Amino acid sequence: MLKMNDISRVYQTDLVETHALRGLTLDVSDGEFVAVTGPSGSGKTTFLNIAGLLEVPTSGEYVLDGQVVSQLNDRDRSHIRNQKIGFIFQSFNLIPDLNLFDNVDVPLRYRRMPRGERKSRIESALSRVGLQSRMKHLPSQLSGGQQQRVAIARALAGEPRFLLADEPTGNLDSLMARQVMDILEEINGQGTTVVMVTHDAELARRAHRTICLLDGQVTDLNPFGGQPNDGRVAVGA
Amino acid sequence: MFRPILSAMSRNKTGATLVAMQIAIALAVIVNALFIVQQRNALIQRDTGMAVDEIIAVRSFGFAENYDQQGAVDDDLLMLRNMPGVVSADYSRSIPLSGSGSATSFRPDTSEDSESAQANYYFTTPDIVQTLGIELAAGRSFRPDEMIRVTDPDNPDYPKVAIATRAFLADLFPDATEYVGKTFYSGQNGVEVVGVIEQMHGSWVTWDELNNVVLMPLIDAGPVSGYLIRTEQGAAERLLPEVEEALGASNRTRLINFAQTMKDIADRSYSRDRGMIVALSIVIALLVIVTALGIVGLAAFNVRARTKQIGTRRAVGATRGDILQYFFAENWLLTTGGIVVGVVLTYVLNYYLATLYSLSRLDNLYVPVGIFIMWGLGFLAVLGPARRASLISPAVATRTV
Amino acid sequence: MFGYNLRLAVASLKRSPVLSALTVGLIALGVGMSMVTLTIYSAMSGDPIPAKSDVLFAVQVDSWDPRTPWDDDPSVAPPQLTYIDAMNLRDLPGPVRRAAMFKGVYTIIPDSPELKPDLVGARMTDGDFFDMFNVPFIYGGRWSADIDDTAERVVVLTRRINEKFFGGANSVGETLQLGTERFRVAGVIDDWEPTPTFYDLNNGYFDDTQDVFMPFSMLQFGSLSRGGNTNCWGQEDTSKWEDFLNSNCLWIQFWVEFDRARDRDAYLRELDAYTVAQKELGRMPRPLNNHVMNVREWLAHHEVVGEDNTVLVGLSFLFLAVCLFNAVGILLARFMGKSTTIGVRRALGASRGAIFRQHIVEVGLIGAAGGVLGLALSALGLFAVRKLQHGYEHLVNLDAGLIASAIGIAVVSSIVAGLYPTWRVCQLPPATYLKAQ
Repeated sequence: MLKMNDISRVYQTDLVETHALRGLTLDVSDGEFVAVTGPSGSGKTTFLNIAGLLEVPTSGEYVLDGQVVSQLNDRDRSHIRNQKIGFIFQSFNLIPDLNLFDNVDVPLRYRRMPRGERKSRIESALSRVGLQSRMKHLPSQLSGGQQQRVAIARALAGEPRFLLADEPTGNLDSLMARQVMDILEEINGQGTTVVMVTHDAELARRAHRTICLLDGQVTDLNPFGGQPNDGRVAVGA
Repeated sequence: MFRPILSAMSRNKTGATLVAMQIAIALAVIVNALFIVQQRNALIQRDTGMAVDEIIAVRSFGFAENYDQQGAVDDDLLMLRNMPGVVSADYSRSIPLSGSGSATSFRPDTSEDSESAQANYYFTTPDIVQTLGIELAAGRSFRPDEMIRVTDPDNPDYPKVAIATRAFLADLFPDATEYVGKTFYSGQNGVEVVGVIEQMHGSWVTWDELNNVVLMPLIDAGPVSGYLIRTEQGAAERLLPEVEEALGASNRTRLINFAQTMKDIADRSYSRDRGMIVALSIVIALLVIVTALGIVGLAAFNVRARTKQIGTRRAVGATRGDILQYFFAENWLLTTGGIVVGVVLTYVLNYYLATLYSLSRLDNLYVPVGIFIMWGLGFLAVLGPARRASLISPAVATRTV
Repeated sequence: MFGYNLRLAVASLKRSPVLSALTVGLIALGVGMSMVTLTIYSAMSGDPIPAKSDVLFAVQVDSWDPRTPWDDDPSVAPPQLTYIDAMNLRDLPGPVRRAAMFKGVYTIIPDSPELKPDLVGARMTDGDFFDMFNVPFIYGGRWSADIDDTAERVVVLTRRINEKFFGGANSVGETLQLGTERFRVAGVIDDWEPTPTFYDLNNGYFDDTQDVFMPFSMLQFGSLSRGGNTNCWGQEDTSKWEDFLNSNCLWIQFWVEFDRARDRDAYLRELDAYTVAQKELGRMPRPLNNHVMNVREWLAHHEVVGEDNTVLVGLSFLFLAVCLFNAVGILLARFMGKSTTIGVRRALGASRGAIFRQHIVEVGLIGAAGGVLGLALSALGLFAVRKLQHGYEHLVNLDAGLIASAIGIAVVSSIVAGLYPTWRVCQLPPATYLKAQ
């Protein structure tokens, strides 16, 4: 599903050159649930941005779903983000002016989907996270956990092949965090590849596999001893 | 002190540049506009030499076959002088400041080659000095026995005496010190100066020779005639309709086709200049408001964007005064930057206006005035945001927003 | 997608109503101000007779004082002719039509004793006047060419006079007492207000047209009351009408019409030949200085567009620039404030183009609102100008073209103002603003 080969990313300012990723190589299979961990400054965010096609690597090759995406232009990258990738952010990043329905609608709009299909997808995505009754509410009227569920619904509505979660429970209390993780696992169980960036070892354990970053490189494939569940990988793949 | 401010400003370079540009253009426009306004004001404020506020002017047109101009003038003047509120009344074929009148070249002798001087001339009656409120610097007004009455338009007599403005007489007799008793000529007609008018405006306010005026004792054959009526103080506006009605009713062989206060006539003659003053004043006022808004907007934006930074400064010991000072200094730098460019623009604009149009070169006094306006404006505009910045609590430093 | 962007734009404008109103207001002010000055300017510089402005010509013959030129610039000839020259030029070959004219003053004395006499401005001219200047008739028409010699007492009335004295009925053939004589009505013209009144610029450029039109040739048969300007030189006694007619006084306007614009050159040669011939009679003492100007040249020569108006147009556009700089600042702050939202949209698949389109729609909406409001402001401003400024009563009217240009100026200026902030917002890297802050 996701294959990175010798990916480097260098940030250049007037004075310094920062190497955020140095020859990162990794492979995530279809249907896997992978956690990416590491201390601050290890390159997690850069990895996420490159994996999510929000940034282009300085060098190296990135293949997503069988397509080389490392050198695409902005338009094509936007298109792939829109079609194949779902994002879940630590701070939810719902658009405050839009109600829940319209928030979930955002990625579908950029897909130029007909109105009827958008409507049914939004409704089913919201009901999947248990918020169909609050479609007309604004994000500010919800709790953090609810907001994150809306964000998940927004990610799901596009039926992405690949879900990228960035500290999805970082801003939530433990009860809500558990709910969100349950949903992520459920989504993964239905065949969506999930990559979750986190610094929380507890959370990482719920993934099939953990990749640990240090100084922009993969250091240890399995620091927390998590094992991929082969049975689950097969489901819906 | 300025270095950190400059580096902070460079963070929002575009915003600062935009506001500086507004200040620059506003300065250039305001200075030039103020200059034009002052010039026009000076034009309007010129001394007309007349009691403009207390004069009513009327024009009549005799249309009937049996219209008798001389009789009509006598009757009308008698009636007007007896009206309550009227101080005096005179015949005058044309009306000063009205944009309509007669002018000709007079000469100091009868030759065709001598240096002539142009003047507005008015045929009028002896009380005119009192009616217009003009001041005689020397001599007297003409006497009733010097009046010429034209009954046969084909064979008119020319007046033998005149009173004239000092400006005109100085033009015509550059070497003389005494004008009373001098004689000037219109063609072969000699006219003796019996009185010198200190100052009086003629008919065309845009004419170079506006101050050259000659008054002569004559009532012409018509059918056009006019009256100038001096009223008691503050009564002109009120008497105007009464005068118009009385004249209209008293004689059915002519029409009163014009009746206005001299004040309105003068206003109308200067209406272009007044219009320019109003238009430019609006431009200046709006520019001041818009530019102030720009400064306020930028400062408010900066305060908001730097809330945390300000809190931190406060936390490490900056006083409210320090924060205020910081924003004043930043704003002063910005305003002054705009002003520097603006002064250049001001002169460019003035050069352009002076070259392409007849605007004169900018009086240098206006530039410092403009600069102080801009500095003041900048200071006032930043007061609010700076005060708000100074009220930011040091506690925000520890809060994650 | 446009509908979606429009909805987003409206929502965004509603989110910060004060800033939105301020931006719209700034654009409206700038547009309103420049539209007022531009409308006045364009009305002044407008072509009063576009269909014929290149074949109608004002004729100038310099017959002025040999000792001093007419103007400080000696190549400038007086704008009017002597009676002698006007009469001679009426017979000069070349033009397909020609009209001598001057301003007269008459009293209309109504037959009904209930109506009051009315002092009216008269244009004393030749019958060709109406054809040359495309004067529209309601009833009747021009008088025939032979009346230009016989001076039969005929009159052409304006709609206003016809309504006043004939109740608006077809009065052709009726008679009317003007001064001491009776005149037969030859025609009634419809409203006709060329701005500027190019055919006679001597007493203001935007005056009312005259109320009645009568044959120029009447002046041969006796003294007439004249309005307008008269300029004389030398020492002539002009008290008698006869002497006045034969004097050096300038007081008659003279216009010709050619089939083709280029016939002007031949006519100018004829005119010079005429002047040379007159010199042999002891007239025309000045050097040859004749001019034949078409309508546009004539208006430019008179500097009909006052300097003040040109200056105001320039200053008002500088004002517009200040407003736009201000609006750019506001839009920029506002768009940059939405960085996170834009980052989210980018992450969810919006391309740079999509973000650009979304914001340009928002900017366009502000521009359209600013344009409409600006138009209202300029209508208000023009209303005030018409009411307060003497001589502008006929001048300033918003027409379709001006309305279109107001909206155009507003939308173009707001797009220009919005382009930079929009471009900046598209350059935001999508990832930067997504992390928790």
